Amino acid sequence: MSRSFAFSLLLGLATVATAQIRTEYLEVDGEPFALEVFQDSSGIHMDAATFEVLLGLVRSLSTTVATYARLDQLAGVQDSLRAREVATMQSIIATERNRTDLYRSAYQDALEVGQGYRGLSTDAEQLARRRGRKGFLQGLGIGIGVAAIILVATQ
Amino acid sequence: MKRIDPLTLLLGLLFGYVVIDAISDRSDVKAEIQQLRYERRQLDRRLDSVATGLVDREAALQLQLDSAYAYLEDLSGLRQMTTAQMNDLRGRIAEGEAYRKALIQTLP
Repeated sequence: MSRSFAFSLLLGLATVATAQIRTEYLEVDGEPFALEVFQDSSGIHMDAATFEVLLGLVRSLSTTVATYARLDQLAGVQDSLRAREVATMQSIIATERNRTDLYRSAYQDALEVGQGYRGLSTDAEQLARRRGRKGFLQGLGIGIGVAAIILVATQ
Repeated sequence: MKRIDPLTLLLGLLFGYVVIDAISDRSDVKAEIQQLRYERRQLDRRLDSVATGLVDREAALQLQLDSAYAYLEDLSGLRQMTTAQMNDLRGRIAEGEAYRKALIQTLP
């Protein structure tokens, strides 16, 4: 037995002696699972299938984290849009109120103008009535006067 | 000098008074009619101003409202789009979760 072989054998025996299966209990998305790895003096080893599963989990989790970040961003955008919608609705309500005030004010003005026209019409009617009555009397007086002049002149 | 009959004088005076009163009345009536015409013109002008003001202001407000409603519609469209995107992302998150669960089941 050569010296190098003896050394290799010794190393192999030591490795087997110190080797152990380590089990880690993990939880992803609330789903618990046990991960078995083989640990010896040279490090931690796992079979290819377990490694692929872990890799898949890491990739998927990384994508999910990015998706959550985008979701947060969109939630912020939506909050801002909602705030703008509320502000626009308030502005619309204020404008509608202004419109109501405008109609009310115009109605008041129109009412006042209408009353003015009514007053004017009453004044005009009174004037016409007065003028008619007095005009008749004046015409009668002038007629009598003219008749008297004619009578005096013809005497 | 010819003597004037008192009755004739009285009638003459009355006639003169009636004529003067009629002339004075006529000018008064003219002034009143002028005043009424002036007031009517003022009222016409005020009515015009009220109508014009109402139409102008109403048009401006309508424009403002149209613009606000269009903006609101845009915002609502954007929000719906964002909601759809968010739902899509939530779906992807759920898919990822399901994928990971399935992946864990495959562990030896």
